[in-house]
Amino acid sequence: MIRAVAVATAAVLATTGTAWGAGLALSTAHLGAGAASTPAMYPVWLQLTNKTNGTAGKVQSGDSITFAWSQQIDETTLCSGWSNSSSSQSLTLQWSVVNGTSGAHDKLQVTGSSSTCVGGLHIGTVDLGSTGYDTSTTSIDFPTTTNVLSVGTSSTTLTVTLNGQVNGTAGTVSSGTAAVWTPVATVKDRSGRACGTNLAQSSATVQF
Amino acid sequence: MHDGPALAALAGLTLAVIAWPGSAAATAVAPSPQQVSGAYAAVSSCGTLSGVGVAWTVTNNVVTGVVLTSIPAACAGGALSLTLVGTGNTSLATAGPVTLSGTTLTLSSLTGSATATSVTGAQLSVVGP
Repeated sequence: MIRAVAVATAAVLATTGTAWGAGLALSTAHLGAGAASTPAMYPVWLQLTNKTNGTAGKVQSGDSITFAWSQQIDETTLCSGWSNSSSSQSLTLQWSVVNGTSGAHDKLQVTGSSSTCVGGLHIGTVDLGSTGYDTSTTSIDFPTTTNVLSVGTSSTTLTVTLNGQVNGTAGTVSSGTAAVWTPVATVKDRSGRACGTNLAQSSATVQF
Repeated sequence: MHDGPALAALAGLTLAVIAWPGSAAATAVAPSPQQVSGAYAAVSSCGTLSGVGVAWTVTNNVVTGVVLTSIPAACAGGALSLTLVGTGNTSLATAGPVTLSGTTLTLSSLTGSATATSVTGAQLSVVGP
């Protein structure tokens, strides 16, 4: 009997890595750990800027929006007529502030077409974070908006300057939430990595 | 009634235990508790976490939210924690633990500030269910 206890004690001490103690209780039957890949191509920046001497919180010609991606973009996925051989592009295209319905926030998006970009300029949409930018039921259109693409060494920027305002009624927003840019998921970088479902939001809660 | 051989054997085993590397020897040891047990208990993984999809929301190049997809269904009920790491696996931001109720999880509150372009990976852990 005594010999058996001693042998058992020696066995416990000799077993590397064995936990020992009284009242040992495992609280789970499952443990998991792993490293997951993080996005490589994603929207990294969204900024909506009021024009010089413009009315804060009110969309108007001269206001600008800056979109930035984390990588050099494959320009053909943004606009079919663009080529990666050039690091800058320029295009005139209509943008609109589209009135949200049933309590939905107003949105900013491309509504025009261009023979250069067959299928459209695949920028996505911007939830403006308020219902008050367009107080009418029709969209505020900017038909001669300029779109300037600049591809840097490790990122890409599209600067949109609204112009030629017609239709709708612009309201002045005094409080809201951050604007959220939902890019087109299939836009890719030059390594073929898609933008996916990643989002960017503005730091400001009142736009323009 | 003849304990002589048995005691001799115990003495030998005791010396063997004390001589084992790392063993402590002391006089007047008073163990507390008085019962000691040792055992293996098998735990299993609830799934492969390296296949979890990671998408995020970025504000001025800082990660402000993370959406995880394709979480193994067997992990439902477990508590998931996330760490965004940078070069050298240094921790940049953490989230959780949050109890999983499905295969998708949105983490909208992160501790720390992770510049998106500095993040090199996401480390996930699940405890339970």
